[in-house]
Amino acid sequence: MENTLAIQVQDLHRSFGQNRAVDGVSFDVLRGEIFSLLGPNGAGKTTTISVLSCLLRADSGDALVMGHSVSTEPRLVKASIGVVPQEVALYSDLSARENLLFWGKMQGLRGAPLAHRVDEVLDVIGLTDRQKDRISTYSGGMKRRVNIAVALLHKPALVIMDEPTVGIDPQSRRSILDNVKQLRDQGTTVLYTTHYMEEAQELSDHVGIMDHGTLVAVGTQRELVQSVGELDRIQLRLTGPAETLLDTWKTIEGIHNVASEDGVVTVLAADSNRVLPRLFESAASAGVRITSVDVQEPNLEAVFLRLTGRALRD
Amino acid sequence: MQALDIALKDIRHSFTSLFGLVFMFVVPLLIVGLMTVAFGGTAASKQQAFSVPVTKVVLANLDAGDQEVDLDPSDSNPSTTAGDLLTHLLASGEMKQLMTITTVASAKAARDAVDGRTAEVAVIIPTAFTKACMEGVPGGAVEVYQDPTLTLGPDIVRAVISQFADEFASVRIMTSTATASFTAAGLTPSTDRITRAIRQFVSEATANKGASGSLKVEAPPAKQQKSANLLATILAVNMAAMMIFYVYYTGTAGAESILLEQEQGTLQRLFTTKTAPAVVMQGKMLAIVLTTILQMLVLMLFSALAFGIRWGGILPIAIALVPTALCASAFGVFLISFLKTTRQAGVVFGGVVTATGMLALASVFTMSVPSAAQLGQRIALFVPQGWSLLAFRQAMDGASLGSLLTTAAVMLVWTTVMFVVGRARMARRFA
Repeated sequence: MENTLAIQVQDLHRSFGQNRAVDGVSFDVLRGEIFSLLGPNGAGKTTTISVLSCLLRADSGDALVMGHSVSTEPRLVKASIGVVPQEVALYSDLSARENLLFWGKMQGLRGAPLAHRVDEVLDVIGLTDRQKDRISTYSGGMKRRVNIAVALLHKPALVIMDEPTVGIDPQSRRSILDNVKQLRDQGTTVLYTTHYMEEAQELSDHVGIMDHGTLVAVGTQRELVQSVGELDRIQLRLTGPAETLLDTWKTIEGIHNVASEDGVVTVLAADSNRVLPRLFESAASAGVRITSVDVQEPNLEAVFLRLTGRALRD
Repeated sequence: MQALDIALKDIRHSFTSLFGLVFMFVVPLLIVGLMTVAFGGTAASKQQAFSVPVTKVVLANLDAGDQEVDLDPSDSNPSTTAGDLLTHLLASGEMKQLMTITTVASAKAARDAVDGRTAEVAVIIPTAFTKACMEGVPGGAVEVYQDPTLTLGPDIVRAVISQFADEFASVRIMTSTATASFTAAGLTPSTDRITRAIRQFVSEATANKGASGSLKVEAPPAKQQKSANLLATILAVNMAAMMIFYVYYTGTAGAESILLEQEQGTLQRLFTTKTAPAVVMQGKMLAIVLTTILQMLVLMLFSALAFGIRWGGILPIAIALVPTALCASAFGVFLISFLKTTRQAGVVFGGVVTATGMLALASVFTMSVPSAAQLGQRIALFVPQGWSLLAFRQAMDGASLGSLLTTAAVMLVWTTVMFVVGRARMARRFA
């Protein structure tokens, strides 16, 4: 089992004065997957990854990163991780290439291998043409890409990314998300924190939902949805005599509720794929025409709302 | 190796900051340059001493003398007066560097010369000057009529005249006292002997007639040499003081890069790399040490060429320079460890660095005040800058290697204590 785990977090606690930033967090991350920590600002995500990056000591508990304890083997942990901090952490008076050369040296790379690796990552982030320009002349999105490239120089087995897309344009965000998926495809484990539900949904193999320093749920997206009993929402527009049809639909197995408002019928069902054919069959039998269908599967936003009682962006 | 990489990066950052360069090199040189101008020249020329402008004096000697007294029977003048002696003194060779004397016949002519700006000071010796000197009768005051815009030249003339009059007065008092004492003791004083005593005084008082002449304006050779190098000494000490003041400033500014990197997040990122936190701190420290060494070398070289400052031998200077660089760097780390943001650094720069720097400069401010010099030196030694200044002064003065090494050792103790405390406080912020 241990060989398949990139991270094992065991009852982690970390406080700042009276504030319990991380309060008994435990989770596992499989090798080669993208694991997202999803939660609002102040949920404890950054503190958790700061401990995993050996930047903060845990008050109690421990974490194994690539098999090494963050509390007793920080140097081995650091050698196996690349960290992308939330804020751009680069030297603005140096060029992108100079930054990458410097940070590569800090990771123990030298000479031709370093220069070759810098060329590679510049190509990956698409900044080869601008490599000699000072970072201070870059846009926010370009800085973010260099910020990520620094973490990839030494080809770490685990990349820890702390909200890498905050405050950037959609194009750069798209580029970064694609880079993250490429990393997974190359076998790199990614621990990704975000408060953007869409990013977590798009990227994650597993998601951990954090709030107020605790991990309130962990699993795949589907598992999380099922665990809170959220239903699919099917919205239909009908033409024809629908009154008796709605009563019929309420009797179909798997349908929990049917309501009509302003010409739109909303059906709540456990599995939209199973009930939709029966909805069409009964509508055809009743002489009612379905002119539009919109299916909304429950998302992480709904899960978070159900688990914490508030919206993700509150 | 990583420490050197960090140091080179920081040094590059320091030397691309215009503000930093101005404070490291321009300001200390500018201050000493202004002092050089203020003192009226550079010490580059060894011959050039601190000089006072020569005062143009016009002199009217109206002294009628005393028929009974010839103050200098050795000369051809049968009735030498006190006015003659004073004229002779003011026109003597010793006074040439201070004043030029032109004699006129009347008091009016003397005053007109000053009013017409052909002379700066008029000295009018009254008719009863000899009688006043010999007998203390009133009406013998020498008039000094001067250009009101001048201060130093007339004061010098007045001082010489006062000294002359005081000497006569002292002899008069001495003879009166002696005569009274003899009379009280029932003895009859010898008029001849008294007269001989007065004449002996006059012969010694007259310029060029005795090495022990009390009015002779002459400095011993060693003092004269010291005077010639006075400006160079003042400039050298002040240059060293300015250099140390700003080297410690650079040390603190260099250490501020730790706070700056913390705020930029690059310090935390460094701590997540393979490079050990201790190596990161070593790199930061190395950058400050190398920067301050470079700063001192440039300042010493430039000031030697521009102001003629002699810094001493290579070994003594190295013994002063290296511990100073270490001490300034540790001083910076120590101070910065008490701060959390670069915004607080302004208070430190404006307050602590300046205050401790000024304490060190106490030894410079008081160096020309004998009564306060020792206290100033003691105060300076309460701060590390004071020890650095002491080391450089020892190096410049050619002090023994032992005393220089002792000073260096004290600086290394300062360095160790400040670095250990600063490092420990920094370490608390990170895992």
